[in-house]
Amino acid sequence: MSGKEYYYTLFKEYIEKQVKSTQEQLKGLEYNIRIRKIYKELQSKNSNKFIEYYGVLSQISEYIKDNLDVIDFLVKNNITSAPQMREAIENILADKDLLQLISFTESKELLEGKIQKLTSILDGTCDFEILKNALLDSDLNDECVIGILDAEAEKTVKPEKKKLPSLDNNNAINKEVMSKYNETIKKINKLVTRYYHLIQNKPSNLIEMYRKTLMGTNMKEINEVYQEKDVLVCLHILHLIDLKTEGEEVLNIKPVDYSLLEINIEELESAYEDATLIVEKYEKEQQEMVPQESTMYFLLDENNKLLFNLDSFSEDERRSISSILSDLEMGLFDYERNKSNHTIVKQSIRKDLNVFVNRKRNVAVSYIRINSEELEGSKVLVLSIEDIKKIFATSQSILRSNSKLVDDSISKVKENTEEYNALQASIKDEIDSSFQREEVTHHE
Amino acid sequence: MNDNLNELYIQIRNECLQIIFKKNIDIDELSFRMGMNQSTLYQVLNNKNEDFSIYLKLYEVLLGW
Repeated sequence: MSGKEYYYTLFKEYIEKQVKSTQEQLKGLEYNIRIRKIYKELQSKNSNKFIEYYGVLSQISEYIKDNLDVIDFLVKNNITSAPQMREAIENILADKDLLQLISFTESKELLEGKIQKLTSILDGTCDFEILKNALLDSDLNDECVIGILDAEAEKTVKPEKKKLPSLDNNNAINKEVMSKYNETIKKINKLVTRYYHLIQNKPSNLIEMYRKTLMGTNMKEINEVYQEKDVLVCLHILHLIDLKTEGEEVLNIKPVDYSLLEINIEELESAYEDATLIVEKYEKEQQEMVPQESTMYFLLDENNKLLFNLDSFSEDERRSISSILSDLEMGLFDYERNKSNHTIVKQSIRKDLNVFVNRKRNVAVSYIRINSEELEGSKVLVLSIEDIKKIFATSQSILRSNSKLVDDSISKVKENTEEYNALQASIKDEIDSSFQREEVTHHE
Repeated sequence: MNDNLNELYIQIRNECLQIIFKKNIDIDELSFRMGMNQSTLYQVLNNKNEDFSIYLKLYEVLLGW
């Protein structure tokens, strides 16, 4: 059995279970509906009604049965005016079990509709949207969901004979449009499938906010202004999904309006290009967050001096700083597991640079990662070492006031000259000796 | 920021504030996770920021708190 067949088998088993449980739910609901009807009749407080439904009501609880027996006894003995009669009737009408049975909110039509949808998945007659929603609601793992979505996406680009638009004299042009559409959809499906997990793992109320954001703005504004790369990727993927749905709707209306389809293709192509650019930036950021051994560099001013003063930190703080720098250098900083000790500067002055911040206790180090294919290994350029409450303001201030200095330093790191490396080595010695000096003082 | 996003800004900001109060969230910690100092975080909450992605990020961080 191939991977995809296996995924489909799991999905089929899941849907069958869903059908069964929904059918049971429906059965339960039908019982509840019947009880609710009976309850309405009981509200007349006519003792004969209670006797009439003795069989059904007595099965709900022993307590109801006991009260029904009282009513039955009083009716048979013709003493219906006794206060016990009123009390027994009130007891039943206020019974919690009974009230719970009639206070359902499900709708029979909804459940029947759900069964119909699930059955249409099993017999392969459902729309893609139904299948997609069922998949996303399922308890199947991401790999399985993506596998099936991928296979379904493939199906949509394979023109099925019965679904092909009827071709008239313009069939050559229409064929060309269809071919272009299929080509576009194929690459879009690939992109959507690859990043769908970013959306899938998010809470539904957050996705709702994403959708509202998309409705409230245009993609141009989003691309120009928005800085959060993972948010941007999600917005673009949702936008692509929406455009794809629009195209599917055009195809579903027969005869197909190919001019509308062409407009949709243009929109899809443009959205795909935008999304690709965003995805590249996102991937770059992700790559920068892979923990790896790094050579440490420090941002220096025009006089080759550090922009921070280690002497201003206490002994404990210096130990924390030493630990952060050492972890960073050795690639021991696990961004995933220790993400609470790591962050990226938001609302950064420089949109083209990610400034990372690692912390330990009350001190933090801000830095830029410098990776490029020409460079051997990863490099880290430390911008600042500061009290945790000041690190963001200080880093932003450096980016604002010393932007050129930062660029020059990045260039020097990339150039990898002996002179610059020697200078950095002397700075590192200076920092190390500062830590060691403290240790000596501490031991004394 | 257009009018639709103005409304959404108010909605998302209110939801964020509700979560902050309901979960008694440490603002220092939230600021760090958001990669900004406290005053910037307050600015973001008090004044509409044209980069709306910051609100979506903040909402996500708070939902996962």
